[in-house]
Amino acid sequence: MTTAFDFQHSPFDTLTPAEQQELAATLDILFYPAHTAILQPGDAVEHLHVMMKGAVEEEGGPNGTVYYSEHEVFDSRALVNGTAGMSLHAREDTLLWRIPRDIILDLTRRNPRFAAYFYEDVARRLAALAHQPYREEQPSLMLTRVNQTRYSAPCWLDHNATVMDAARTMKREHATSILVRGEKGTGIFTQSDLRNFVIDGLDPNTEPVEWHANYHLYTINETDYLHQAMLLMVRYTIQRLVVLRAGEICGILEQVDLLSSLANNPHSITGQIERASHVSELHAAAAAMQQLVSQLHGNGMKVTLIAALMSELRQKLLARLFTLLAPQDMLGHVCLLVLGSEGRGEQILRTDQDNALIIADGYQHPDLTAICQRFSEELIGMGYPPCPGGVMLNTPQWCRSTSSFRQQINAWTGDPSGENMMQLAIWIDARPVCGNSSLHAQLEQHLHRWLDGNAAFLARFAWPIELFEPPLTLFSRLVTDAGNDRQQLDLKKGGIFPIVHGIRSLALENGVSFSNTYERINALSGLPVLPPALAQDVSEALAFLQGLQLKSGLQQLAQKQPASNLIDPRELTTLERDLLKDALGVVKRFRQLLRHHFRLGAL
Amino acid sequence: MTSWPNCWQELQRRLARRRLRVPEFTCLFAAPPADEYVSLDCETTSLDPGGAEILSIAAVRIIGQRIALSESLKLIVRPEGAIAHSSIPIHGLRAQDVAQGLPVREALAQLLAFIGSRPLVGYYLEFDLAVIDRQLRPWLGIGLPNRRIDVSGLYYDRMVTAYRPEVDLSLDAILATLSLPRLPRHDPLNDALLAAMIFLKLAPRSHRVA
Repeated sequence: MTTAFDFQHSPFDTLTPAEQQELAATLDILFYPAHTAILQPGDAVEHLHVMMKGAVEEEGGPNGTVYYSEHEVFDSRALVNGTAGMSLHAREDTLLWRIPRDIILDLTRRNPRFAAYFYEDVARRLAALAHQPYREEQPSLMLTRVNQTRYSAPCWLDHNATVMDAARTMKREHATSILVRGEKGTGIFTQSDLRNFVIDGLDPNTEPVEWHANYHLYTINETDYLHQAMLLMVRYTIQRLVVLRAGEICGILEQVDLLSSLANNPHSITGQIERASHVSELHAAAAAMQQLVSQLHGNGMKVTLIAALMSELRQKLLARLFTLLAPQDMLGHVCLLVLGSEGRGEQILRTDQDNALIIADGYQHPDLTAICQRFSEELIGMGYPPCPGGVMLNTPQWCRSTSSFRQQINAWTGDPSGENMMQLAIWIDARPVCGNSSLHAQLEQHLHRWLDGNAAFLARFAWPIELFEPPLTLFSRLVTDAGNDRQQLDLKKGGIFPIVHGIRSLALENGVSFSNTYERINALSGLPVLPPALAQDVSEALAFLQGLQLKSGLQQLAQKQPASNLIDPRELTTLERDLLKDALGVVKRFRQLLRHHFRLGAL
Repeated sequence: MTSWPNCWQELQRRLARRRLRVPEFTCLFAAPPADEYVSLDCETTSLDPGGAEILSIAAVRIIGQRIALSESLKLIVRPEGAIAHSSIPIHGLRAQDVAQGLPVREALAQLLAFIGSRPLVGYYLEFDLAVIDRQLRPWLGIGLPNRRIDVSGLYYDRMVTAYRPEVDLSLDAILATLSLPRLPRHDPLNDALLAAMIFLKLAPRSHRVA
């Protein structure tokens, strides 16, 4: 049945085709001539009304007089309660769609995303939406080519190598097979060949590996599709294929590589980082991580989980990079830190580097400066642009000894200027990723000893949340005054920053040692300063705002633009726009609380 | 007191009732329910009222202020003859689309049960009813006895003035003037819906209250 009802609009766009059919079968149309009453307070509400054409005025609600236009839903809360809370008038001749209450309630029980529209409390609405996939970004993995996946480089042995050499190479390189340049050509010797060799009871120290290798290689071209690789493995019941580039062997594609690429397994990236024996292999891992973000997001993973996963991977990457560059004995005397959003574990897309190095007092190494320089350069090469504020290993301010950092902390806390507070904020979010983490713990203790009970300082620290007003008017309208055409709003300034910094200030005050904002909120929730209900709302609002930031960032990257924090509300769905208003409303409430708590009005 | 035109209509109805050959349809002559109407539209094999056959019928009841879309009637009819090729692009119904349709009498029986004695509403209703009556007469002995309200007539009465004797009666013009939504056309249910909306907007209240 074709229907005249438009399902493109919120909340009906969340219904499945079957649910749409079901709803369409129950639709009626109502006509109200101009200046007639549609609903009065106290009337029983048996139907949901959706505007078809005309103009309707609502009075007596919490938002004053509200006008409805096409496709808007009236007083959805009344539907849940069963009685009208406000009066509705037709200002012009008006046509309304009428949907029975029972079918709406029935659909809300079956479709959580549809139900989210009718929830009164923000946290539940946001939570219901945040678990839902954004429906784009579903690349067909079967159309991925072999060279778009991660396969390993081959391990080569000469024809005079023994089976023992082969076994040692496998262990050292974490490989399950090696290639032999034998007299009969190129052969492959795998773990199962090794097992058979052991069963046969031969002497591994004398038997040449080429006698036991298999010379019939199954190959695949680098530009072939993954599903071809899978078919070959299934057809010949083999575990791996030799990858050819222009007729030359360039790698081994293992079944596990294939599976992890099909299943999008972050585990394989971890493995790739840990196995990396050279910096160039980390570059490939960095590229794969970026791809993983959009795939996970497209598959509907919750933003906070993606962020946690990505920061885990990135910290592994940084740690591995540092250990590859630095000599082994250096690691006990230094501590590599990630700072800022990276330290909080809320950085999803690659942005600026924010890192620092603490060097134990008295430790010196001739190559230290060169290593730090190299570290920053390699990260730039992997697509992490240098930090404009210079928060990087290659600037002396962020690569110094413990006592020098201690003096720096004293300087920051001694003079609460804006610049100093910002630097301190970056420092507070630090998380050690590599080396001797006790160096960081000492400095933390130093800071907390100094801060204990220093209310005036905390107010100074919290003050920057006053700088940016959430882009929401008194009447719950979004304010768009950012961007070139002033049609956009800044998610970071108006929403994310006030939450993150407010929570950071509270964490500092209450000695909460986590660096992740969600963990901090959990730890603060229930303390007198942060009631559990608000804590829940703040946490969901932040997740929603970061989700929106990620979504628009991914779109911008797809259009080859740098990821910014600006979004255009016109490009959001109605539901997202409603939720954005709700989230910014939470930011407002939270800011109010902080202003009172830190007495920011007195500054 | 009944006025003369009403008397005339009443006489016609009584004559028709006497001529009705199939007693099953005496419901057409019952007292109509208060403030209820039926808007209907047909798609036909051609635009010749003397030869066109019905391909589909849609009807929707108007109850007071409400268009009862959820209880609407939508029927596909299998014509006996061929469908004029020139009409297929308009209604989109090909021979294979209507092959599973109802025989015309079965469809009309359902339609008559649906409308009962309610007044009929439509846009250029005359054509649709001419095609329907042509089918009914040899079978029942009568055409539809219901009161008929053509929304283009209502619109003309509302718009015409001495200064503007010509009124654009195209559906697009009517919808634009009355600021009604545009639905996809030539779906009989949508067309019936549009006629119902025009009716609700134009029918004087006195005209409608029984």
